Amino acid sequence: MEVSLLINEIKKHFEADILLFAEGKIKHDDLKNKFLGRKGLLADVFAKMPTFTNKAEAGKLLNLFKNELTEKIDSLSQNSVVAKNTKKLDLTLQGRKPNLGSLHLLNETQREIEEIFISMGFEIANGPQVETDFYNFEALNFPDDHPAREMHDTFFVEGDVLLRTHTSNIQIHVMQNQKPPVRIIAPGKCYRNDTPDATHSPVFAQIEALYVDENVTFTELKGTLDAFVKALFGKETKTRFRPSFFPFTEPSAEVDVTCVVCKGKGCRVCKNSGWIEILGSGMVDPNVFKSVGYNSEKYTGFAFGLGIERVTMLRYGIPDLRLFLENDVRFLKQF
Amino acid sequence: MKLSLNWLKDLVKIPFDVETLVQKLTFSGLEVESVTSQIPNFDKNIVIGFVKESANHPDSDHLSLCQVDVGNEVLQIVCGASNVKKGQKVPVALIGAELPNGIKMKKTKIRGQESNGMICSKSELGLAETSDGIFVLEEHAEIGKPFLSCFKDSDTTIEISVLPNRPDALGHFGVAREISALQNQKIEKPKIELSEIEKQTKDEIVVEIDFPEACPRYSAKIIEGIKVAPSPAWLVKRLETIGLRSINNVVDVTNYVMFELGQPMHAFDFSEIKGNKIVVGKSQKGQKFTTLDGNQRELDESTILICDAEKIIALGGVMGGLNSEVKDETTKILLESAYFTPSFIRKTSTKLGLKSDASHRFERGTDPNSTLYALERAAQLLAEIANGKVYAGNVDVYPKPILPKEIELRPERIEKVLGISIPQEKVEKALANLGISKVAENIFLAPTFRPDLEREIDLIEELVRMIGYDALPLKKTSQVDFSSASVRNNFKSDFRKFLAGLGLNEILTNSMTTVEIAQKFKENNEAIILANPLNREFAALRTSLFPGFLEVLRINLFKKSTTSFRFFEVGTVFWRDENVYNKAKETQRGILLFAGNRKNPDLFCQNEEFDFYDAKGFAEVVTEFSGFKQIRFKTGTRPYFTENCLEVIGNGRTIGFVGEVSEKVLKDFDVSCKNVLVFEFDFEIFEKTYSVVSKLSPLNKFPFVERDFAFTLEKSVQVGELVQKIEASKVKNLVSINVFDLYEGKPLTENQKSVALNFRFESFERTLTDEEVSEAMGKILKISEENFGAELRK
Repeated sequence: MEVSLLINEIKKHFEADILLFAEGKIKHDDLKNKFLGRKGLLADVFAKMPTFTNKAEAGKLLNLFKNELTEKIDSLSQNSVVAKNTKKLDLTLQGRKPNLGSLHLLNETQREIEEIFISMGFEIANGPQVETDFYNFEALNFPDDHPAREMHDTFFVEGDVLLRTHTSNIQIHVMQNQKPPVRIIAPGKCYRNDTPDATHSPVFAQIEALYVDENVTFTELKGTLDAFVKALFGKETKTRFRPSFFPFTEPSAEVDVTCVVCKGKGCRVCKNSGWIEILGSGMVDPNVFKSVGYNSEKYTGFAFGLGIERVTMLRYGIPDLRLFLENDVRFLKQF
Repeated sequence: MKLSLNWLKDLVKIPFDVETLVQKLTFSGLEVESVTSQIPNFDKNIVIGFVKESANHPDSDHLSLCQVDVGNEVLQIVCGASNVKKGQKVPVALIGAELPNGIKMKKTKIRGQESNGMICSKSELGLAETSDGIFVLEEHAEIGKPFLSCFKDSDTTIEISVLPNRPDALGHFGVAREISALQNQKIEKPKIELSEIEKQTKDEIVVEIDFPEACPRYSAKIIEGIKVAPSPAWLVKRLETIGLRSINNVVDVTNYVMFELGQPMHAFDFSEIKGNKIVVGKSQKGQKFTTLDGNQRELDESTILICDAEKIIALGGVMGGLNSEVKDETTKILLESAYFTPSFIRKTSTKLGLKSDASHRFERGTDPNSTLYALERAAQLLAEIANGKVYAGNVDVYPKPILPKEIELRPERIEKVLGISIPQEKVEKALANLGISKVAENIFLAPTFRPDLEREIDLIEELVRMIGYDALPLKKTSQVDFSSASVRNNFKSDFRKFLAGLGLNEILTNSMTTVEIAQKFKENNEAIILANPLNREFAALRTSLFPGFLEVLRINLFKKSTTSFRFFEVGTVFWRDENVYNKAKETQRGILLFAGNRKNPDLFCQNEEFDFYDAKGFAEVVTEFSGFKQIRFKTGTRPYFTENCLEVIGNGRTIGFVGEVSEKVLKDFDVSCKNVLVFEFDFEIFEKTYSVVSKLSPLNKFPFVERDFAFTLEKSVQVGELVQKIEASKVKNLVSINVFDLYEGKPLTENQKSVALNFRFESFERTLTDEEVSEAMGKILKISEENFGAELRK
């Protein structure tokens, strides 16, 4: 007998038995034993191996058939379990979703900036929002009756108490209580008596960095800022410095970065210049050191600050600052 | 400040285009904010034509038939303007030209006559709103050239932002000096040629300064023969370019000199000065004076007064008086050019709320040593354009001359601040270009027109402005010492992420509010109220996060943004504290708010509304997350909650409140939602608690035993009190109690309820026996019966 004939015969048996199995007349185990068992039909054929003319060929065919049969019988077993014990679900229905919350975009941006600075070895410092003239202005080299104060429209409480106009007051508190080296970032809310519109708010958040030590130079300010903006806006981002004036730093510079929207090609956001202004910076003015009792011959330092709202608006394409405080759930959920 | 490009070009060579100039100024610290060219944008097919012939149109009595030479040909053009005449030079729009209003010129026939273009009026060219007839050009216009060439002398306005430290840049000459220095050149002031008459200024006026600390220098000069008239076109145009309106030739000259040299000038009508005398004095409180804007002003005791022998005639450095202003019939004037101490001017202008171009300059600091130069410049211009006869000499009272400052600049200091060393010759040249001269080794003289230069660091800044920040390399922070970086306090960040994970949306509310809300929601201390509020909404600092949340809820309900509101915030609240330096206590609070549906309705959850127990449950989970070992609740009260309010006690102290917001408050805030639940807490206590590191409690290897009881209780019995009582009774091996069912209704009577409790027992020493547990359960039953009238349900 040729092996192929025997295989065909078994096939016929199997097809007949499948029908019986589907009707429930044969159990799965019996089916398996009948064909694949130690004394099953297939074993019989294997036993006849020595009688075949081409043994190698016969072995190959038989093994293939055995695999085929095993696979079929196993798949029957799985189907039968489904058929017997489970209810078929409509899997296209939605899942039972728990509520998903969200974090406020401004806080997240602040956190992200903090993380960058922490990785560069800075510490977070906090300070009061209600402040005295001394910490907000005088110690920062804003002389009394000086037009520089006009740069800050200030909310006054009474006497010399006011709402801080920047987070630079924290510099003074920290330096009064700590000897150099000082390496801090100071985030927080600030207040200016500005009429609210799409890009101005009387309450806004700022983050400022201060680094004071024995050999801190402007080149290091440039290097640090460059590393920071690359971390925040991407590796391709470049910086450029323009001379400016802040009473508490000298020399001072405004810092532009490559436009985050058009990557420097020129667009509406950057007024086609390819650059956007986001930071103020400079070397700590010796008068500031004097006011906290640091020796300005020995120590130098740099400081810089940026507005958290502005950075967030640029990064996420938010057109109006007022969206941040409106807290529309449809806005909140996007981030 | 607005600059005229042509004016700058009069003063300094500018061998590059506007764009380069803008770049150079911006990168030296005079940021250019805008550039506005007066050169209009005209199609090159609008050309200058010459009217060779003009005849009446054969079929019309108001049209003319003109032959117009446009350079390479002569065109026939029909013109409707009555002022067209032979021999005029006119703008011609050729066929194909596009006018500023978008109209394209086509060949047409008008009443049978061909017209090959149009002779334009000013309004057709967009140069005026309306115009009467065609625009007749000046004689020297070149036939055939583009019309645009008529504008080659048009000016450009460059607006720069001048920061408070640079008063020298508040005049064109100062900016010209900067432009010159940026080309590595030093600029000199132009020489003034002045012809004076024989009469001497000093013979007709005496100046006394009685207030020298406020007015260190007062210079004056007399000019007679003046004819007050409109200014010549060039002057009107210059002033227009920088945004000033022309008044008359005398006032315009004083303004011109101020905007050229930065020195404010004032012209008095000499006939109004009584007693040939000027006295610079100090005001007395309550004195009144009418300034030339017609406003009467009440003065304090530190205003600088310019008086004659009898009366006040000006507020020094701020504004002149109505009584001595130059009028149309004025013929003789006294020109004032003075130096006032900045802080006095600033005080006066702030107190009076009176700002002028003069006060703006004086309060930033003018050059005390340029008053005479400015006088001469003004006199020269008045002689030129107002027929002025200039008296010889000046009156100049300057008792204590202000000298240039000597400043040391050490090369090693430059390197210490900037991080690079700069060759000495380069340093000296850069500074010299700005007028800062070297007088000895490392010693430089800062000119008096730069009052901002006082210290070594100021010179370093000048230097870096001149070499440019681009010349400095980037240096990576090399000295980072991570050991000094604090252990990161991540609690706030973790806490916020935890709440977001529980399905809450973080919001950020305004820390400023109205006075009423700040006061209504304050706790024990007074609210912080501003002396100069922006408006009602920005008038005080918040005393609670709660009202801001209701506002956010109101907006979201109004906008129908969702039906399920789950908000949280950690933010600062403020109140007065007289015991600290800033009279303020600032503390961080947290708040969770739930309103509307637990979820937006879907297949699995339909309109399940938030209730009190959601807020309480969150309070329990949030406190546990924050590391509180022991939490208790007791009945609490808050003015804005209903009686369903609990005080939360964590580790023995009050840490917050859970409550249901009262209907009245919801109505006050216009919140159209009934179930609003809140958990508010003192975040700072949470922060401190979290940092306590807890140790592992061992896990029990012996099995636990659970037993249940169902009690019938009076409805008034508080289940929590029953649970607490059992807990407090220290039943042996009892580790937890869980309420798992509550039932009211039949077969119970109307004032009964049934409560099912599950008790878990375990021992760390052995497996508990049945008897032990039964004995404990007996004790529990007894406590419940005796204290709460509980009956065991069978």
